Amino acid sequence: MIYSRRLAPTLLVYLLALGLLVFSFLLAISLGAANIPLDEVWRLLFHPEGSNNALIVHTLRLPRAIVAALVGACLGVAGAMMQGITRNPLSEPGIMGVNAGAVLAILVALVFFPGLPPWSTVVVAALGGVGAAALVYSITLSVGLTPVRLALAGIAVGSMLGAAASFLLIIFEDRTRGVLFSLSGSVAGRTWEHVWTLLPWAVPALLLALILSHQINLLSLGEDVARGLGTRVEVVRLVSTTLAVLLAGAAVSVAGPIGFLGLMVPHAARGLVGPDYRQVIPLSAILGASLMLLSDLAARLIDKPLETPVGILIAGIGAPFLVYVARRMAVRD
Amino acid sequence: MISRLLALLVLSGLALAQIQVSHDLGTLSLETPVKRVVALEYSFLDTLIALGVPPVGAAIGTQGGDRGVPPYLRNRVVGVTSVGSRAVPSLEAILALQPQVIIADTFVHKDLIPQLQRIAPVVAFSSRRGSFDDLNKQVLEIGRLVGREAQAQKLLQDQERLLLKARAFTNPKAPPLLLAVATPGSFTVHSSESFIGSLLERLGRKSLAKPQNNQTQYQVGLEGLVALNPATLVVFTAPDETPIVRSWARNPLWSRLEAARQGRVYEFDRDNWTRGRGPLATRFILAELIDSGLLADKPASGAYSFKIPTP
Repeated sequence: MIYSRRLAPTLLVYLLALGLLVFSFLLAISLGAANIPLDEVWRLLFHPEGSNNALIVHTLRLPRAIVAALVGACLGVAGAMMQGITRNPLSEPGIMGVNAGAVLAILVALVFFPGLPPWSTVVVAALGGVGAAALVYSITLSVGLTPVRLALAGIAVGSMLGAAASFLLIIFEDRTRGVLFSLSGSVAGRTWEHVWTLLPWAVPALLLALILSHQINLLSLGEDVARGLGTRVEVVRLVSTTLAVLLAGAAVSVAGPIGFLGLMVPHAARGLVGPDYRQVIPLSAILGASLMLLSDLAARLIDKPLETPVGILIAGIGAPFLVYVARRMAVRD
Repeated sequence: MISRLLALLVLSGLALAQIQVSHDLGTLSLETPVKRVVALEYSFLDTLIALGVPPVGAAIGTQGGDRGVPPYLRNRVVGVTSVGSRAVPSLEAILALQPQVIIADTFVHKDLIPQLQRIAPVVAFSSRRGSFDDLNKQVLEIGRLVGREAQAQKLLQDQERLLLKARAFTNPKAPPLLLAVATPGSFTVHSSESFIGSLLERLGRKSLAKPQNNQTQYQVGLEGLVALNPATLVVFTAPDETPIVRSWARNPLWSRLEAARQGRVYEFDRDNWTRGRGPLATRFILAELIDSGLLADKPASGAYSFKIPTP
């Protein structure tokens, strides 16, 4: 991959990253319409005493922060896995059209199959994601798989599916009124209900990703090397792709499409701990969660009391990053 | 004799050109009052109907989530052609009606006005973000536009009398109240400078929310509502929607609100209360205001009481 240098000893990196995560998490709970000091947040988290602030922490800010952290972790890990499997540094759920596919699938389910149970949303989103990814691959295959072509096809398919989603939102306005997210991605107003939707998918999938990280290491060395080392390439690729799409689908089903987070986070992780996916995947989870928490915080504070969709904010940082990575690749080629 | 006749002609000519309608884009000079008007906001429609000169066309469509004519006005809109929604009116439909003047919203139709001006002269007022006083001034200008200035003045005088009567119901010691529109996805506070906020201030009920960043209306979350902690809360909802406040009401924080504890959470129809904004809407609002006991600061009861969701 692009990064091979290591900037700091791994243990130190992990300690700092965990510190950042805890700090962002507490800050996200502390700041809002009424600011609650950090020491009070800490106390209220463990000893809720029934005050308004305690209720604000436990019924509003804590579930939102957990959702943000989980969404960030899912997208960070999904991005890391996709970049590892495809050996493509531009791969991530947003750019590859997976997020857009998931959104469209959720809307189609909502409009045409309104009877589906709520827990199925994540599965529906993942199926949509798989469909979009397959479409992007098949388009690119015919002209030759290169990272930039894949990204271009992904962005094109993503825009197309996004347009279809907008179409459904407008035409079936009555039926899509209850949809949780807007097309710009946000975690505003998420409650424990959404934590419980996300948790049973996100946690097992994140753990499985950790277990698979060694196999992804092998895949990232190239197919021939991996095969030479005794890896069942097709099986590993299928399982890990499914897992990555499921992670992205889980994130989309509660937060809507949030692009570029899955692109930036793995690059940062590789820069810090090197190309070993056994390190990159857990670090991507921690950094993804932190970035999502901090971005959501900024989104809340920029235009107070109005909530800016966090997806727009992350795209604002992520789009220039995409250009940066693509340019670096061009220089190397 | 001939010179006298000429003088008369010149004078009458001057008299004919004397209709001056001043609006947000300048002044429109007319020789004769207009008969064919297209109205792109509900307040203009309300005003024109109140003046007895209904528009030939109005933005009363329901495309793109617009909600159409407010219920209080529904059976008075006869023979008015729909030209689409307020956000995206159909230029073709407007053109087909051959209007003499189009009345648009200064803010909502800002980008559309140059195109509208190619169809007919445009008169623009701040309706969506206007205050009660702003909207009253617009009644006069619209009256001038359609040659019903005297009726417009009478409408406003009658309205003043009604306001005085309503004000007598107001409890002067009542604490400030919070007004907000609740949709399935948002809770938008209408401040003291919004139409409904300034109307209630005129009636002697102070509004807790002031404009923020020059916005007369802005969204807040449940946290923001708790921070404001109003003693009286008035939510405007639509019967065909499940407003966000129903799910908020399940949160224990809701019952901590002073208004909830004092039984002073009122619920009214958002289409009637915040979308009409004309003389007819004001009459309707004043009736419900008195009937509900909101002015007198009585606890909310019956149909005017906030519908608490069953768990």
